[in-house]
Formats: sequence, C-alpha cells, structure tokens
Amino acid sequence: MEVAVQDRGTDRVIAATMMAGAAVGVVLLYAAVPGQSGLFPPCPLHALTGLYCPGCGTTRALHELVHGHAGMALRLNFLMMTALPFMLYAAASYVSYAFRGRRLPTMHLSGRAIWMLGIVIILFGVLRNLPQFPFTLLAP
Amino acid sequence: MFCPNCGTSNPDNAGVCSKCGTAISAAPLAAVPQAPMTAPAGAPARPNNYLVQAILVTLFCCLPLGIVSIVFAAQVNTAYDRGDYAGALNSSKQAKMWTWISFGIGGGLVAIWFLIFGLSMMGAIMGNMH
Repeated sequence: MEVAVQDRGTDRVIAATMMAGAAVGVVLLYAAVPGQSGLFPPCPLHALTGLYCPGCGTTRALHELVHGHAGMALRLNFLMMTALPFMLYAAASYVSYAFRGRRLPTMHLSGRAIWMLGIVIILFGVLRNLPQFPFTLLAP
Repeated sequence: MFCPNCGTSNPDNAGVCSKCGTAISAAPLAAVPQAPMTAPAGAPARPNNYLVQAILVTLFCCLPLGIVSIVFAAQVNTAYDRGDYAGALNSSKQAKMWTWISFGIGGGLVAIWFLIFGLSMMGAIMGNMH
C-alpha cells in the first residue's frame, strides 16, 4: 500500500531534540549523584506526601545503569528498568520514522493487554509503599 | 473431521479423505478462535493509540491523567480488533487530546517544580565549576 506523502520536518526536529536531550541526560546522569548533587529535583509526590510513585527512584536507577550497575538499577525501580528497553525501542522507531519514513516492526497489543499494563503500573505504585518485607524490595 | 466432499469421518490430522481422496485440512478450524494478529486485507492502518506517551505520563508525571490515556489507548486497539475502524479513530482522537492535556498540565507542573529547585540546581552547577 502506498503511504501518503507526509511532511516529517517537525518530527525530524523533535527526534533530533530527543536524541540530543538523551545524550546530555546520559552525561549528567553519569557525572552527578541524584539526591546529593542538587542537580536533579526530587519527585514532587514523595517530597510533598512521603509516598513513592511508580516512577520514584528512576533518576537514581539511571545513574546506576550508566555506571554499569544493572542490579542496583533494578533494585531502585524494577518496573521502569523493565520498561526501559521497550521505551528505547519506541524512541528508535520514532527516529526511524522521522528520518527514514518507516517505523520499526511493532507488536500489536490487544485492548485487554493494555488494560493489564495500566493495572500493573498502579499495583506497582501501591505495593512499593507497603512496609512489609517482600514489598520493601520494590521501594527505591 | 468430516470430508467436505463425501462426508466420511477422517482422523483430525488426515491430509486427504480416506474414502474419496479429496484434500482436507484441519487448518480452517484451528484458525477460528484466534484474535486477528494482522488486519484483514483492505482494512485501514490502526490509528495511533499514543500508548507510549500515556505510560510516560503515568510514570513520570501525573498518574490519573496517564491512566485516562491508557484506557483510551486500550479502546483504540479493542475497537480496531473488532473491526470498528470509526470507533478506533474516535478513541485515537480522544487519546491524542489527553496526551496534549497531560503534556500541558505536566509541563506546567514540571516547570514550577524546576523553578522551586532552580536555586539548588544553579548552586550545583556553579559548585561543579570550581
């Protein structure tokens, strides 16, 4: 099927900005220690309520990851580190679309699978706030 | 299974009918209950469900807004798999709208948060220069 000709100029700018931002992010994450340097702001929800959100611990996890400590990264935010390869793939697919006009092959999820994904995220957010043992492993 | 030509009962794994030799195959039966992995020929492409954006919003910014976006993303795929392309397109528009709402509200909140921490961040950058 012939794909309609689309103007992808805006997508190219966004994709290029994304890649530049990611490069700067990696350098900053490598150089500075989250929570100590003052460079990365803390999670607003945790700062205001003391509760962990599903994303809490991401900056620290990424800091560990760029230093090659995958285990520590998983320990700080299991969900986010599991989702990271998929997010990188989605980003790569977008970059491919912006510069080559073609997305990478994607898996089709059923509506039910997407619902499950949402429930898993909420469940993760709730469970990591529980003070009992197996759940404390999920806390950042 | 039964031969479509003469009606003779054959084993399920039989390639041809044991009586009349007509080619038979169990494939059509096995294919029925599966959800369509690819759209039928002539179907429009699945509209964008903005799932990645929805998940990013849920994890990094505003959980309630993100959940709304995830629900619409699910609706896009459910409607599309049902063959309801107009419904899928409609949900896609809703998903897009919520992506922009999240982007606006989330962007605003992040900007405020960075302003609050601006002094600390400036301090950190200046400190690193020495």
